[in-house]
Amino acid sequence: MRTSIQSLRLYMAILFTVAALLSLAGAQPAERPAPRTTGSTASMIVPDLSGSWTGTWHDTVYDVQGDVMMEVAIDGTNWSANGTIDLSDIFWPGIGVMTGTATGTLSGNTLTFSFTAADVGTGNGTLVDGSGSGDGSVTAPMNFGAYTFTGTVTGTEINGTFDFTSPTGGGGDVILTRAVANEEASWSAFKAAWR
Amino acid sequence: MERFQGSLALEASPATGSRRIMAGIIDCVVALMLGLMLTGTAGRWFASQAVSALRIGQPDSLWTGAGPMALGAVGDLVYGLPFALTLILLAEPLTGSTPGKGLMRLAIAPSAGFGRRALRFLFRGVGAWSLTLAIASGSWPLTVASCVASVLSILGMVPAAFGRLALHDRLSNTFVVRRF
Repeated sequence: MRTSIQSLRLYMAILFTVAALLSLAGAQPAERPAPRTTGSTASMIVPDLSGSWTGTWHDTVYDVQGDVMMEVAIDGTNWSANGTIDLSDIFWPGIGVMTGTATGTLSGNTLTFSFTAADVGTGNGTLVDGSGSGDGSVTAPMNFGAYTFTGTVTGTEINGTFDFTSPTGGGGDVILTRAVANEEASWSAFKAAWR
Repeated sequence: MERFQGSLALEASPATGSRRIMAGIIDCVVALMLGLMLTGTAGRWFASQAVSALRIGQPDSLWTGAGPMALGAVGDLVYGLPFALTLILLAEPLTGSTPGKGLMRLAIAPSAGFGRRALRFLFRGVGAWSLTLAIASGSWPLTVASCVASVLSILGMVPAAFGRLALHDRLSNTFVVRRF
């Protein structure tokens, strides 16, 4: 019986030593098919994004989705935004409609921005002309890890894709359109009816 | 427990259900620790294989929704765990014990040779090794089959919690004893 325990100790020692050496050596990240995306790839100067935006996020890898909305304000070269993202479909304790804020600085045709949401994560990126990219991380409590994003913006649509870097991580798209004020919407409907 | 006769009864007695449960929990914790150490290497490889094994991101995939999404976020650990558990359970045929059994002062009855211990590993660890193979091969049907085998294997362990022989004990003609 003593020999059995000694053998077990030797086996476990070898196992964990090899695992430790492998973890020190590291590994190349594996590839997952890129998430299915939609939207245009138009590029232009940074448009005026001030106002209200509404839309959805959709993880096309795992088919999970929710609403997104944000309010953008511009003061000279300083941009700021606050908004909400509905993560209820993830069914994570304490996670539902989460609020977040963003700030940005416009310099020439480049907008450098960062955003954060408590209990969700952070991100930062740049928007050059009408095309943006960046990265971030979904932190505790969900700990989904690092992600990257790209996107395009126009005066009427923000269209982005996100991709978690883990091989089995999610990925998908976020599409926001400019919210039309009630009076403006009514006037449009009136004109359409008149024609 | 008619096997407990003669000289064997002098050196060992049947393992209680609570000790076997604790031993199993300890084995799982040790496998988790090993899995954490392997996240950047073997775990990452198994996660990349899981993409095809579970058809992650494919239009016809059944592996969708919030649960798989959350598991996928820590896929380097989750999909490498069956491999880590397989390595831990392999200790039993190779050494006659596992970390959990060692700490709980349990062991396979000495009369069981390597052949029977290996057979015991095949039945007891069917969930771990078959899932490892299924993920490694990237096979969706094999993944489903191994999940079914895992459930059956776990159900077969229930009698051990009540101090009786588990299914893998009976199938491999082995039994667990308490060391003194």
